[in-house]
Amino acid sequence: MFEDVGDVELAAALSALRAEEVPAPDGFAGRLAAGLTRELRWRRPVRRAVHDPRTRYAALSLGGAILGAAAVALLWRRNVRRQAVA
Amino acid sequence: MVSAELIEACRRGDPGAFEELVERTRGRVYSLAFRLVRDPHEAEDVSQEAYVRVFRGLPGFRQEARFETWLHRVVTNTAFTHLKRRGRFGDVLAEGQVDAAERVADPDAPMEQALDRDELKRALDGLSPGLRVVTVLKDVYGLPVRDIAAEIGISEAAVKVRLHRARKKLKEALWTKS
Repeated sequence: MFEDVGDVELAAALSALRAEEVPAPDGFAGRLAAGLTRELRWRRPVRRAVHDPRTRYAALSLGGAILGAAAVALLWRRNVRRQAVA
Repeated sequence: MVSAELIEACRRGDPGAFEELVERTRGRVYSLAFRLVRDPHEAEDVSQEAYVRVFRGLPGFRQEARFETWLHRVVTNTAFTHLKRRGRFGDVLAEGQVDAAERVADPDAPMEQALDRDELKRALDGLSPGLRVVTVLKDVYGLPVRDIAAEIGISEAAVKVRLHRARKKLKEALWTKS
C-alpha cells in the first residue's frame, strides 16, 4: 500500500486529522438538538413502547382476543348456515 | 468513545441516551460531514439527517461492528445523498483534472521536516472532489476500500487508483513547499 517513507509519513499525518474536529458554526449544538427533537418526536415513544414488555403482553392479549373472536364468529356463521340448509 | 451500554440504552429508547450519544459524537459527525460537502450549512443539514438515520438504524446495528465505523458510513452515505440531491455528486464521481494541489515537484527535495498540519489541510482542500473524498474516507477516517467503492459507486480498483493519485499529488504539493 505504501511505497516509501513519504507515504507512511503522509498517512500518519492524514490519520491524525481525524482527531482534529472542524469547528462548527455558532449555535450548531442548539440547532441540531432542536432539529432532532422535531424529527424524532413520534419515533421515540414508539421505540419505547416497542421495547416495553407490557406492550408485548398487551399485543399478545389483543392478538389472542382477536383470534378468539374470529373463531367464535366462524363457528357462529357455520351454525347459521347449517340451520339455513336444514 | 461511545460505550456498548449507551448504544443499548439508545436502542431501548431510553430518554436522554440518544441525546448523550449526539453530545459525544456531534463534533466528529460535523467534521466528517464538512470534509465531504465543504459547506458549513450543508454540513449541519447532513449531520442532522445522519442522526435521524442513526436513530432509525440503531435497532439493526450489530454490536460487533465498531460503532464509530458504522457512524462514519452513515454520515458518508448521508453526505453523498445530499450531494446527489444538490446535483453536486458528479464532482465526487469525476476524478477531476483541475486541482490546486498539483505543482511542479522537486524530486531531489527530501521530505525531511515533519508535515505541517495546515499545509496538509490546504493541500487536501486543493485536491479535486473526486480525489479528496476517497482520501478523507480512507486515509483520514480509515474506511475500508470496499465500503468506499460501494458508497461512491465505483470499483475498488478505481478507489485504489484515486488514492494513489491523491497521495502523489499531496506529496508533490507538500514536497514543493518544503
